[in-house]
Amino acid sequence: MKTHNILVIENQKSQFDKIAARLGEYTVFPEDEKDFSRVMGWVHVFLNKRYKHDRRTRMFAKLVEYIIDKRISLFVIDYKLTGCHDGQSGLSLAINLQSNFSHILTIFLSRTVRNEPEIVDNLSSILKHEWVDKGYAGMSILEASYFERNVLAKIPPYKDPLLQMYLDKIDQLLKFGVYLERKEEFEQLKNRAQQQGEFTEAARQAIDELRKVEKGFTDAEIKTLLNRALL
Amino acid sequence: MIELLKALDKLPGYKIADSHFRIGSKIHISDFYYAKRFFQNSFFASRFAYLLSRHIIRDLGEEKLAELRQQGLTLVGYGIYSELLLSLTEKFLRKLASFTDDKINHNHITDADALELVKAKHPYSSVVLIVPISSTFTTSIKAEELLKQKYTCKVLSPHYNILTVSSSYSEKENRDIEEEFGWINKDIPNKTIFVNAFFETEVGSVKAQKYFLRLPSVWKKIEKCSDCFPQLMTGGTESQEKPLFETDRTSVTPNIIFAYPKSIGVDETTSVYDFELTPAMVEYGHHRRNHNHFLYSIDTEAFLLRNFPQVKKWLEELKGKKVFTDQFKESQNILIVSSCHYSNASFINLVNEVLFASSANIIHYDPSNDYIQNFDMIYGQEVYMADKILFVDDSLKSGATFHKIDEFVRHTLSSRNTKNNLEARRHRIDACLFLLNKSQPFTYNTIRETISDQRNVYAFATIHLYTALSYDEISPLILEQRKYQQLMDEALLDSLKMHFQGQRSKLNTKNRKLAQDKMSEERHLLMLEATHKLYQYFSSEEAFFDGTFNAFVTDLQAKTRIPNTYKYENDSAGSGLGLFESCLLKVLTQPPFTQYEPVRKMVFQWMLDLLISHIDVISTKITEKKFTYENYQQLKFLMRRAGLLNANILISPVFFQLLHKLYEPGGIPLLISQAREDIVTYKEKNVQTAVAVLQEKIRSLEEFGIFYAAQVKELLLLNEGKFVYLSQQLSTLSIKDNMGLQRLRTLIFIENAWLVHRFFEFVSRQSDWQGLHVEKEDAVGEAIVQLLKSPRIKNHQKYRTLSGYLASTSPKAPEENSLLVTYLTIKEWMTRELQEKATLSEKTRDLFLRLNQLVKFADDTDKNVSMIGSFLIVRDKQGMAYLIYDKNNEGEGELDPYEWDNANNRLLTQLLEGKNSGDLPYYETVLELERPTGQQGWRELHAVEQNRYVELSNEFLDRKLNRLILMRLTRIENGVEKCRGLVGFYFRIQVQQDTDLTRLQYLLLLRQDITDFVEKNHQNNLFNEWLIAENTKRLVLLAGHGKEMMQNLITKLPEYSQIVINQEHLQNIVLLSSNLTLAGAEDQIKEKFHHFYNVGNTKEITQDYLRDLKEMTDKIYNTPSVENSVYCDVVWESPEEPFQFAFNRNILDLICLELIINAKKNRWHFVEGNEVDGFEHNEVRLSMKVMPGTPRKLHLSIANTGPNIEIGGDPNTLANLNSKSRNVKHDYTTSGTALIKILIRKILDSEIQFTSKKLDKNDELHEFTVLVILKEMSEYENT
Repeated sequence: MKTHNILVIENQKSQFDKIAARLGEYTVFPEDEKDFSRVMGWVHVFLNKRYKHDRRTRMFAKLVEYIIDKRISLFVIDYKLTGCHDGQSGLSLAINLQSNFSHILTIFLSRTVRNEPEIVDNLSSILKHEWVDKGYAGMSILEASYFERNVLAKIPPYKDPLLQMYLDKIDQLLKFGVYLERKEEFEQLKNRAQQQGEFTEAARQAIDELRKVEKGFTDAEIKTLLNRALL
Repeated sequence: MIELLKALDKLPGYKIADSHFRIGSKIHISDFYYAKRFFQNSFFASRFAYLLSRHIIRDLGEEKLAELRQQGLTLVGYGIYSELLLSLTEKFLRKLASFTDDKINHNHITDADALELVKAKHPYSSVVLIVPISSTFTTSIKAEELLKQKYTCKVLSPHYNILTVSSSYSEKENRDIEEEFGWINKDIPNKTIFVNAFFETEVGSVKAQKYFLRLPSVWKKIEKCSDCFPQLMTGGTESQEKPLFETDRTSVTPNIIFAYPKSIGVDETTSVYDFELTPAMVEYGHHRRNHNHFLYSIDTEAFLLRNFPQVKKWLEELKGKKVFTDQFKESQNILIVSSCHYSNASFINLVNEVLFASSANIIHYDPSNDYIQNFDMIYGQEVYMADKILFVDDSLKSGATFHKIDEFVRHTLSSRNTKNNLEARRHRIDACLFLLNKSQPFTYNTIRETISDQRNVYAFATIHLYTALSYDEISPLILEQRKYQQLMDEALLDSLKMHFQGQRSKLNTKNRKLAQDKMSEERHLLMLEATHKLYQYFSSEEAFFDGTFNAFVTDLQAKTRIPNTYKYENDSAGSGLGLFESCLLKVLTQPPFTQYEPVRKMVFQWMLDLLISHIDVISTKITEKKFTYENYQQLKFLMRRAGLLNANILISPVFFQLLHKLYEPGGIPLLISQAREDIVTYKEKNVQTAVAVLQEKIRSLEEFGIFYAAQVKELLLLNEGKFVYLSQQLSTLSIKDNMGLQRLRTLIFIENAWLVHRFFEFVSRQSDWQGLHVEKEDAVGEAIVQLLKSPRIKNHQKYRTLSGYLASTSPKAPEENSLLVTYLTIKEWMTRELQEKATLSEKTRDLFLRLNQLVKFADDTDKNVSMIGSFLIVRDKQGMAYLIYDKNNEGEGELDPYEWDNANNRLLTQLLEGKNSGDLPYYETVLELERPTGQQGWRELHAVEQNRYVELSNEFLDRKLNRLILMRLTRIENGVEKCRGLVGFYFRIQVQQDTDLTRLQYLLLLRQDITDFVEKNHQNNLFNEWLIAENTKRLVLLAGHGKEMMQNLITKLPEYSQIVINQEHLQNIVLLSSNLTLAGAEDQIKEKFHHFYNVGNTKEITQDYLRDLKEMTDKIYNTPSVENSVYCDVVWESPEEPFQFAFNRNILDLICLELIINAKKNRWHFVEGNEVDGFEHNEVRLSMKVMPGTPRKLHLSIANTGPNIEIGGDPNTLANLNSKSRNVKHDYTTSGTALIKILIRKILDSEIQFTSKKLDKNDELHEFTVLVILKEMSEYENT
């Protein structure tokens, strides 16, 4: 059976190794040391304001491409990621990933407490998230049973991420009453995609269709509509 | 006929003509009608009730009546005095309109502001509203609103007002003031007024107000009343002001006594014998006895001792009088009863000895603590058997003791009479003897009526002193105390709070104080004598007096006498007036005399005349440079009298001119400089007492502003119209270049903002207020604007007053005033949101983000103010201060968490410690500081002395920030001011001249709420937990890279374990020696450090160290324990000459490890797509050299490649790193630098410098160099 492809964004290689080991039953990315320094290089550059804007967007694009390419279905992200003074956090990274991957669950691992104002303010913009506290004195934080209770237990059953995003969007839009006049058409698209079971070329076409329908709206409007639909 | 008219004129009671009364919060009227007695007397009430019933029946019509007979009808009246009228009307309606008993009832509303029906029974759905006495009809409108909203009743039209105190006779007359109260039409022939009720709909619906009798009076708007402010009339002068009289909440009972004070008469028993009452026998101060309150107390034992011969003589002569010998004989069985008290025994014995040759039996009983039944059992027989019973006591005040004993005696006698079935022997006490009779006529007469023969009340001396004016009276002293408590609560500035606290504590019952010096003692005695004489004077037949104060004093002295033989040592009050005159005036401006209408009117005029003439005197003297401290004192004395009488002269143009004058060079400044010169002289002569007196004088002169502001504040307490008048007057004060006057204006301007709070109290009582937050959080502000725009608010007197007040600073309507709206939004949020279960840091953050808005909106365009941030420092119970919140406009900390309270920022410590620190001249509450362009340091913006620079370093805030508001959070506990914390708002202001005070006003209005918040949240367990968490966080983060990483590192690189151990040890030294907030902490840390790490003269470091450093760098870049393994070229430049240097190698290792880890973390990331032309990997360059000097210095430099640190981030990064005090933010992973900076700069007294140099053409890749300059170690000597 297909399981999650998990992208672990952790600053420190030795920590990363521990987390990867605990996530044994899943496929963990980056795959090896070389891959690690490459991916973390992108992340570091993207989050570091000391690099010029175009470099940072370039690096972020590479990361997005990597996520799509590796069919990532879950993120595990450390909150503190950079070593430099004005570097941004893992939360900023996750926020930026939202525009492309809002359907993917993000599990934050952090030593920073959940109620820091910056986190409180921004966490809600991550549609699907879990916050796992590493604690301050946490030598044993990645101890097996803790990890099992607080990380593994929170991982949902695997669903093809892109297909899921597509189905969710259709459901939400219909629920909210947008495009009701095209309900049938949507149902068909949905069925077609469901029959495929997994993300396929047909599903990609269906998503493109959907994007055409949505184009009257801005991203922010769709997000608002979806949020209200969810309520 | 003329005689008849005269007689009618003299008839007391119904109308107080040509006076000045406040009705509700809206108008003042010229003629007051004491009309409630019409409704308390069935003779009138029944006639009104009948008329009213007829009208109700006619107005309702038969059809409606038939419906009401089925559904029921409730009559609702206003004021408890309407009970008789209502019950009679109900009775008539039952008969005349055939209501059955269960279908009609009545109820009351007692208070227009706290509207509530008195009887618990729910009214019927239809209500007839009856207001016996009305003026503007707002009461009936409010009552209808209540009945509709709270009780869902339908109020039938019209509303019935029996009497209306009206200002106009014709339909056209007086429209403007009436329109303000919503009057839209007057139908005079049909005695109906049509009034808009704004609570109903947008435009309001019209309510017909029926009345029966119109009573003429003149209405005046409170803010434009010519009796309050005669100067508003053409040709009016300050001396024409009339005292304002108050009424109870229903505006029908005046808080005054209509006539002159009365004392017990002077008959043969009083004031015959001279006595000596010395100042030492008089205690002055609020005290209680038998539930009554007194100001004066006389030590009767001392009094008896001093006057023994005269008292004995009095008793002997009494014994010789026929009236006495006829009734009391030595051969009789005489019983003396008295209350058991320590002071009266000797007097009782003397009475027994002289009058009855010690043959009388004495019962000394304690009626308060002994049981009633026991009295009968133990003393019953003796009481019963006695031929005559005498009550003897040292003093008669309230008569309570007498009445208790009398009840015991009567109970005992009557029960035995019945038991033995004998003819009653006697029922009561036969005579009373007092050493001092201080009772009021009411008490005295009751006692005379109680005993068997009226003539038998004897007293050695009678002194007329005040007791109580009505039954169940709350003592005026208690009322005064409450007033000062309220003023204290309402004062925005601590200096005023403390002033009122002082006034309040003077009235504490516990503080029955003994005067500090002979002069005050004598003054208290004189006040007692003045009281006595005043009662005596006013009790005489021809009390009416119509002259000047001086003439009054002469007349009083001629007509009254107190037989006190005491010779006064001081005869000058030091205030220009004679000592007796000033005491007299003092007594006359205090209760109870202020409660007598004719006396108050008279005294008010005297006070005005005295003050106005003194103002003239002072003005001349100042011009002539002859102004003296005595003139100043008399001014204060008279101002205080004016304040006590609520005289508006204190805020009149004449007085404002005086204020200008007082702050001229020949005024207060002259007196201060003279006193300062005198101090120098006396110090040279070493006359300490004189120095102390002079210092006290200076304090009094410097605090004139506070004294004046306090009088003004008292004036504003009850009359909101005065806020408006004052705000207009304030703008006339020209303060340019006059710092004293400027401070005074600041004080009053700020305090005047209390009106905004009053408005909040009003608006938050509206039912719509509760629903404001139902909308989304960000819509609350808009909802408030809508509420303010609603007709019911807009047409309310409170809104009008507020508009008038705001108009002096901003042309906008209240709902357009963003500052006001923001303030109301915050108040709304605070009462609601702070109770919700958000975390402490969430709540704190939310609160401060909101408060920042106030700073922003003070400027209407809000363009002048930018970069607003704020911080909160909290002081725990032990006085330790913690910086617990600090966020600038970018959401980052602005203050240096380690340095904010260092010696360069002593201002903060001063403020936290308050006046107790001895550094502050006043009880500072708020400070606004500016950093003038191009200058160093911070200057107080509204200071007394020009250019007062405060002790706050230039580095305290970012250079761009040029304003700082510091507000202390304080609480006054047991008369001591305690600082709970300090809040700061920092921002950048474009136009430096902006000295707007409104920002401070609104922040101060919220100060109490913020203090409550801090006390509730930051001084409890939650806060302690926060502190522990904070310290833990620091322990972990101080090393920057996290303990875990360091532990990881040494498992991979065990050769560096010693460094990690040392680092942890060093952290402990720093942390455990407090968190650098205590004075002296630095020395402690240094001492501990040198104890462990000073190597003395051992030269541990040589040129070979560089090779080890290269090895360390290689290993750090390679290890996956610091991020991941990274390729790097490590280059080292060997020193020109070999060297040996005394320094601890472990410490040098520690510094280097930290710097290299940082270098690695800040490297350039050479990943695909992030290449730089001409560079392929990172490089680190190391160098070392020893510089000559004493001591010698080691220059160690570590340079690494990395992105330009000033590109996208903070362009000041480098400057901040190099700043001596500004530190990197503590919550970033690199804050290991913090420890290194503390170590190098604070402990080693060495330096660390940072530079950056561009490497590529695009200025992206830089070489970042850290240069550490270390002093050579030598034996440490603790200085």
